[in-house]
Amino acid sequence: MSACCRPPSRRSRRPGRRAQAQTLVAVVLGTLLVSGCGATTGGKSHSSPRAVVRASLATSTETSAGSWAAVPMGHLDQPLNTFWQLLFRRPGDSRWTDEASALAVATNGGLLLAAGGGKSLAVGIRATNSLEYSPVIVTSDARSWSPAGPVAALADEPSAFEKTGGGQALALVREGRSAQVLESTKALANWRTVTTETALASSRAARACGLTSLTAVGFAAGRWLIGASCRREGVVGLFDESGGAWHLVGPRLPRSVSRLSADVLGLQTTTSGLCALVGLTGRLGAGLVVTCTNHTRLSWRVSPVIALAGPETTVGFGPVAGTGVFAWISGPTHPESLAILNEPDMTWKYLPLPPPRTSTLVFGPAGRVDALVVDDTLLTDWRLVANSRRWARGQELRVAIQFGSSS
Amino acid sequence: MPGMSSGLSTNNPVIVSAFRSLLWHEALITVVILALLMLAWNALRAVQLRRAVAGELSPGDSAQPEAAARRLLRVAFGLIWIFDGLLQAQASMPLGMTDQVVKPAAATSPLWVQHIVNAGVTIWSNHPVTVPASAVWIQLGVGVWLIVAPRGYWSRFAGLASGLWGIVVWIFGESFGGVFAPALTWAFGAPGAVLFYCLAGMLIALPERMWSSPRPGRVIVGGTGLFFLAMAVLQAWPGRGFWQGQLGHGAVPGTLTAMVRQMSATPQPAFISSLLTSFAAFDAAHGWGVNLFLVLALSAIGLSLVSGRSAVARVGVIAGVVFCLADWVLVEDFGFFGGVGTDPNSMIPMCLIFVAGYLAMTRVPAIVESPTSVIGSGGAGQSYWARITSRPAHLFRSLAAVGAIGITLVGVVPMAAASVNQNADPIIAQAIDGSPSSVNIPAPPFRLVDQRGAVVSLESLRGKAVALVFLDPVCVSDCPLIAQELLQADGLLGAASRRVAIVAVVANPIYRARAYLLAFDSQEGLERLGNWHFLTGSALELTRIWNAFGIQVGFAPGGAMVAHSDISYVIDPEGRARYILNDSPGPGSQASRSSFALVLANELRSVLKDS
Repeated sequence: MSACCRPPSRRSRRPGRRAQAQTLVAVVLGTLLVSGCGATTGGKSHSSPRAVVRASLATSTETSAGSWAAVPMGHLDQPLNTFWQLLFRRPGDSRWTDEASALAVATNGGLLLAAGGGKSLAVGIRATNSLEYSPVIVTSDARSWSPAGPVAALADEPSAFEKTGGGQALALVREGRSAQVLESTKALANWRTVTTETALASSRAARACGLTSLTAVGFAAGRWLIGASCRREGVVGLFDESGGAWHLVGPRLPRSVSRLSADVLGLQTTTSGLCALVGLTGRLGAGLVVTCTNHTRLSWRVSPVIALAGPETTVGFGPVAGTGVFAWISGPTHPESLAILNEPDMTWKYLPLPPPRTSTLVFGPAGRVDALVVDDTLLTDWRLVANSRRWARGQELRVAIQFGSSS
Repeated sequence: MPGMSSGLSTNNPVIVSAFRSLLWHEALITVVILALLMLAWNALRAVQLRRAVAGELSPGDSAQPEAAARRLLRVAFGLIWIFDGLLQAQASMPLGMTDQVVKPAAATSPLWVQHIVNAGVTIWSNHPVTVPASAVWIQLGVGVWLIVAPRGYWSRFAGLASGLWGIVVWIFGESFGGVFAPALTWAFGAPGAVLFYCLAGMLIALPERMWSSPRPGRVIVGGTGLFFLAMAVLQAWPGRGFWQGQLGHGAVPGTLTAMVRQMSATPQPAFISSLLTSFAAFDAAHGWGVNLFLVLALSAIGLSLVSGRSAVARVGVIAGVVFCLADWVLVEDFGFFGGVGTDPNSMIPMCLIFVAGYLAMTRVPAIVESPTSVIGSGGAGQSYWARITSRPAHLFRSLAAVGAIGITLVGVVPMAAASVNQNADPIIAQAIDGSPSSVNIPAPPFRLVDQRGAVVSLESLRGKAVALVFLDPVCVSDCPLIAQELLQADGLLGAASRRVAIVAVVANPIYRARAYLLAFDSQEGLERLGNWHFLTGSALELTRIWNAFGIQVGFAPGGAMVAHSDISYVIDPEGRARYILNDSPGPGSQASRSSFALVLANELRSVLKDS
């Protein structure tokens, strides 16, 4: 008897109403589970986000040959179409020239300038795209350039590369998640490891600060200093090595900001010593101080605190010839301010805001102040009129950028 | 010039031309197969005629008629496979399929799905001519096979083949139909069109006697009903963006609106595009109402299909067909426009499944009692040879099925070979850089220092085939990719690499110190090659060599890297240049790197063989 002719069983006559219902429930539950997995959640974080203060890579410096500025140009929203220009101006000259082609390497990652108060300028070119190490190139007159030894990928910090007039150099490099400090003792030819982030973090000094990352290298009072971000409130992460051990050598912060964590954002050599730009963040707010020491011994003086508003702040930082340093504060929601720190008495003096789209500020000799404004491939130099609160439009420089050449 | 290269465009003429050429060649093979089958038909008909004259032929086939539901599935899905096969033959398929179809489909799925799909993407990308052409023939073959084989094992195997190929397409082409992606919804085609092909194939592969009962029909219709109900729950689930036509005060379109807008941007006739644009605008304005309608309609259709009653199910089937067709037009945008459409999307196959289920439930074939008929066998008590030599119809169907299998194999065999070949085809390198120039001229001599400080000259490399390239150690784009191609080429050479020297000359007038060569070697892992020499010298020496080999090196303005020609030479063991290659790495994909490496390795082997 074939299956079709068999008398239907009781079960087959009532084809499983209960089974159907069970299946239905299972399918619905399964679907609920699947839809729960796929649903987007709209959960909100109840903790207020900590403010972010970072230093700008667009820096400037002075050598005896003239003024130098690193300026990002091109399509600034596209990393591989952002080309950093190295601008140079001879003393007494009012016009900038573009030296980027002399570097002979793509500059998408940024340029780190190391003058160290000397005659020559060393330029570290940050690794980008498929290049995984940083070329270094040196000039003393902006006419002839010679490559120095390559160094591992320089960190994304404005003070990741520094040298002295005597030819010593220090580099903060990052390979993957690991940061290292490298030293070159002669002509930037060979590099040796001074310490690693991991090794330094295990030291007693670093534990005292709650070290989170290395951020800067500098030179003061005859010794190398390493800047860092510290988790512990009120501690400025400035380290030096003596007697085979690392020591915290930073200043004590004023009581008003001792409940904030400090990040050393940059170290700047000045005519009288070294200044550190310190970002302060915490639940109670955010601020900025500069602390300076002289050439002979580490003796820190701390500037008044500049309070910061808004979740994100970028600080341009650089030397002011004969005076101290400047701090140019900007942020998406923060009103900009430009202040000069007068190093002898550690007081801030505020200057008029630079024009919109200013990328780099240059405080040159004889009190000259330039704001380099970028609009794609056009650079415009605005000069602060002496004894005035007005910026005057000056030179325009159109840069020939080969878009797409790094991709 | 480094960095000036563009990726392969979807309609790259070299690839498109090679794809069409291969399709014509394979078409010729199918013609040969069909010609052979016609000869076989002729010969077997002669046997039939002889047996007829001798009075040996048995009465006609009185087997059970094929169930209407099975016939619908077989013929309709056969036609759909043929249609899909023709879509696969579109010119933009070889290079557009992975980038425009597969990768976007997988992008929202979990990583493990992307890893699986990536295996298929790699095979397709490495063999952008062979694999797409194979897909055409497999789908045409399966489609024809389903149509020409109505009964017996030929037919059931056709269903099985349809199901198996469907699984392959569902996993690698549709990323599991997006069932693991967060925006899973019936309206966009969940759980993937090809899953319905698989289901149809499996139903066709069932023993034919199963169709003589309404039970398969009930299962299909009930299962479809449950599927609709599940999809209704999913559609109603909050937080997935379906209840809103627009999000954030109109700044962001809701999920359905965004999907329809995206589909309306597909290249297609203007009236279809405007239809979709209008529906997107309607959904943007009435998102909540549209989704409520979707949920209610899915629920109502689902409930009517699970009811188990023919009359109620009939209403559900009709409503389902109308609803699916509306979604097919207004949301899925027919599925096959835009140059990379691979199928008519999910609604038509879904409709066919539940309509076939309804037919199976309500139109059970009448039993034909015959002493000689056994359902599904096409004849009893006779050997296969006796059957095909006694019945013209049986003979025709068998030969047609063999022909369809032949067409399928025209696709399956090259695809299987491509799947196990991990090297990309040379056609990719040719599409990027053109074919290598074959020459036979003395190579300009050079004498430089390598990265280890050893003096290396062309003379010192006599007896070895030389791959000579020009690399900038601080190049950020092309040179690292070329270095990877050199590494792969060395690996492909195997033992022959002992007779090959891979030589690069610095192509940057500034960064030519050995420290930079060593840094580049370390970055690219070239230091592990024993036959690798990265040469440098004074600026004067280098300039002389660049000029001798026709390499242009120049400072680029605006902070770009130094520009240099991407040209390499293959020099034979006697020191004669035999091939000149443009070695621009193009998009620098894994496939393009592998392809160039294969071209270089083949040419090095060729000069070794000639010497």
